[in-house]
Amino acid sequence: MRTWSCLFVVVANLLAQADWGTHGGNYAAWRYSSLAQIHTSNVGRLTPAWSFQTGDIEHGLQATPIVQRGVMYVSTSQGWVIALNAADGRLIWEYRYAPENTAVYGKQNRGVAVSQGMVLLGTADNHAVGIDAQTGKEKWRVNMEDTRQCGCNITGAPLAVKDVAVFGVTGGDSAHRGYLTALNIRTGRFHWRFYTIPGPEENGHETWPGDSWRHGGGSTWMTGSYDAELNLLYWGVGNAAGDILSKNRRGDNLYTASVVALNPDTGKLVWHYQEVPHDVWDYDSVYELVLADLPVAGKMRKLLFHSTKAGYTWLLDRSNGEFIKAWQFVKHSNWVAGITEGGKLVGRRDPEIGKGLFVCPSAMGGKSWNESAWSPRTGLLYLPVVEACNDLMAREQEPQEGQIYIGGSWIIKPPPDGKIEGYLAAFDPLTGSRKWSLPGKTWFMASLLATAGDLLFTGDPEGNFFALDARDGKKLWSFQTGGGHRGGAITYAVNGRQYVATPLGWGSFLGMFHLSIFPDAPAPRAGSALMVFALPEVGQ
Amino acid sequence: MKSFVLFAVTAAAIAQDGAALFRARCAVPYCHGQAGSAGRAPKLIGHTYNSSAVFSIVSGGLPAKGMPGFDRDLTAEEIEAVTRYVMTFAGAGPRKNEWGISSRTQLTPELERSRNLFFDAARMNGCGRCHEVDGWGSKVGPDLSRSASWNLRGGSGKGVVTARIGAETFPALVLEPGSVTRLWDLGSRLPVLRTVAGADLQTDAASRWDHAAETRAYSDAELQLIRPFLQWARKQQPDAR
Ligand code: HEC
Repeated sequence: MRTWSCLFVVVANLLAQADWGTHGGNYAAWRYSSLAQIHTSNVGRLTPAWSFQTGDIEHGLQATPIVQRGVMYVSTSQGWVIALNAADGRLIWEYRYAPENTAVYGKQNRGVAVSQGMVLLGTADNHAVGIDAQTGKEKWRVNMEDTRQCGCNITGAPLAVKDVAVFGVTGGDSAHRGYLTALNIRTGRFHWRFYTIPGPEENGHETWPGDSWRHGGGSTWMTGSYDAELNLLYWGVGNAAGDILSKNRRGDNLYTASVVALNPDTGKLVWHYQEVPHDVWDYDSVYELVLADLPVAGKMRKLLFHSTKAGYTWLLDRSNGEFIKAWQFVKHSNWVAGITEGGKLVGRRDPEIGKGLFVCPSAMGGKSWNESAWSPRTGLLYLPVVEACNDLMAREQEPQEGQIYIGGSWIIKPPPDGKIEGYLAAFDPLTGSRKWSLPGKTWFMASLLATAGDLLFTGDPEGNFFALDARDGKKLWSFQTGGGHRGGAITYAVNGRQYVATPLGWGSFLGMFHLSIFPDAPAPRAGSALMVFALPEVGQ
Repeated sequence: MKSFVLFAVTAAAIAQDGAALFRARCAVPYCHGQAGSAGRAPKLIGHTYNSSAVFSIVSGGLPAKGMPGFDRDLTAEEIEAVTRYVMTFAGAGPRKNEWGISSRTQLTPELERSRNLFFDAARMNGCGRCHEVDGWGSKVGPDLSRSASWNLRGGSGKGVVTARIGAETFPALVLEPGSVTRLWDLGSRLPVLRTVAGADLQTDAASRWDHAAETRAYSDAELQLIRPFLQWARKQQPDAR
């Protein structure tokens, strides 16, 4: 396998040592660690080192923990934040968010950011919170917008960049205008808000007829990436609302289903690339943006890979948003006939009012929000793929501020050749050629973790946490943890010992549908715990 | 966003089982929730329905409200089974939607416009950033539905102090003074509820904070248009009746 060597890789590797400092492992969202004490020949001896029960089991544990200087910070669905000694799991402090309002979009929390001695948390009632990382005491909280009014909240992990913490928002299926908000990390003071839908007199506003911009969705419910050298913050923007109903919003609907690159100091748009103009399939483009430098046609390029619900991975030049390529990662796709070399969608199949249209992939996505991993050692991009289709039908609906605004319905259907299935697959990110794949019993709904030990870790709904050889997908180790997996596994080192930690406990919005989709499979087990593994012979 | 998903399960296996059909089709979180208890569609628990109305709604849907019809997808026997199950919800549990969303008061179109301007989502919540009225907004400033003031531009100038914490100086509303003090930091476009050690905090009763600066986004004409909503909200108070 090729080893990519370039400055970006080297710098990122040095930073990745020991800690798991940000949501995606680094600002480039690789979910890769350069730690290699645990590798393909000794992973079979991995044993539990400690475990911890959060006690907050309502929606399972969907978070990706953060580890900085030997302390692990993890958030639960109701917005509890727990600081643990990362070597032995001893509780350091616990913070329980006291909500001001009940949640819309359910209680889910995918993680915190830790920076400048503060832990940053977004809440199910749309507040941003700053917690003292030493004491666990709340220092500030900000009501981003009344959750009862906007039909929106925060489920994603914020991203701390320089002096600000950037928070996304849900609400893409409500009559709502999406945004990103940057607050000062220490004081909570407002820095900027970037509306994902341009207002009157802004560029792009002309892509929204009438008042449709006020209710056009464009949520930002996952976490972005950051390139310090270019000083660009990247974020994926979700579907347009009403999701299926085209009638009220004819036009491209910028910047929904797009990647936006912002100056993190000002919140100003530097470039954008719209992947799905006028989205009518609920194809959010909110997922992780993987930044890597690779040679394209003999020339080193600063790339961004973006694998989305639409079942394609888009390759963009992240310095200017130039389209390089898009390749299909699902087997079943018929929403378009294809994407041209220039990035244009051809052969669109748009749902109509009152008529069912069989479309693949489904609105659940060719991949769900659980995050991919990229290994600069193997040069492979690892994706959790879902093969499913749906009957889409648009329906007349008038938007009402903050109320659900879908404008149609989905009926999930299996692909033409049989059944709904999930699998892990490794791709060459430049060509889209699939190197290997591993079928799931049902599907894979946890984020992936790649390491310099050439390992790929993740868990399944059936409770297994396992390691594969990242080069060929061979299963090398597996452990039955007793709970379904929907969170983000991480690895880190304390005092020279490498640990691999996984959240467990089934939950999430999609998690509730598991039984309807796989009626013959056993129900994934709920719960909310961390299970941490290490090699027995090292340390202690 | 996450989808309002209606699942095509192996229908034969659960054909006559209304509860299972309900779980698969209706109980999804965007819709009626587990056993009709929650969701963003109305809570079904606690209502008394007419079974033929339920049957026709399940069959044909309520297109204007986003409720899909199932007649293309379920057999008449299956719809009947779901209807029987829904009828068992009568009289149990509270009526209010768990998310409080459908409890929003319906107003006349004129009042609706007035309310929209007051909250003005497109400009970062407008007055709602600092005032809660009729269950929306943030409780930073006074409750305007209990106030007699019509100084919508300038406020009253009461209660705002100058706070000093180390090198920081900012306008603030102090909530609970004490060894641990909570205060609203008004030096931010979105007010920040901060918790500080009382010993670190100094306050000066004089403040240069200006309510008029916070309402600058509104023209005088727009402030006039807000009045009907506040008038209405004030009339809703028990002591006003
Ligand atoms: C940034 C926060 C903020 C915003 C935005 C804001 N207010 Fe205020 N408002 C306050 C505070 C704090 C007070 C109490 C102190 C004062 O009056 O100066 C107040 C007081 C008032 C009062 C006087 C109430 C009384 O009983 O004395 C009125 C009336 C009022 N606001 C109306 C409005 C209206 C109408 C808007 C929108 C056009 C608005 N406010 C926007 C913070 C805000």
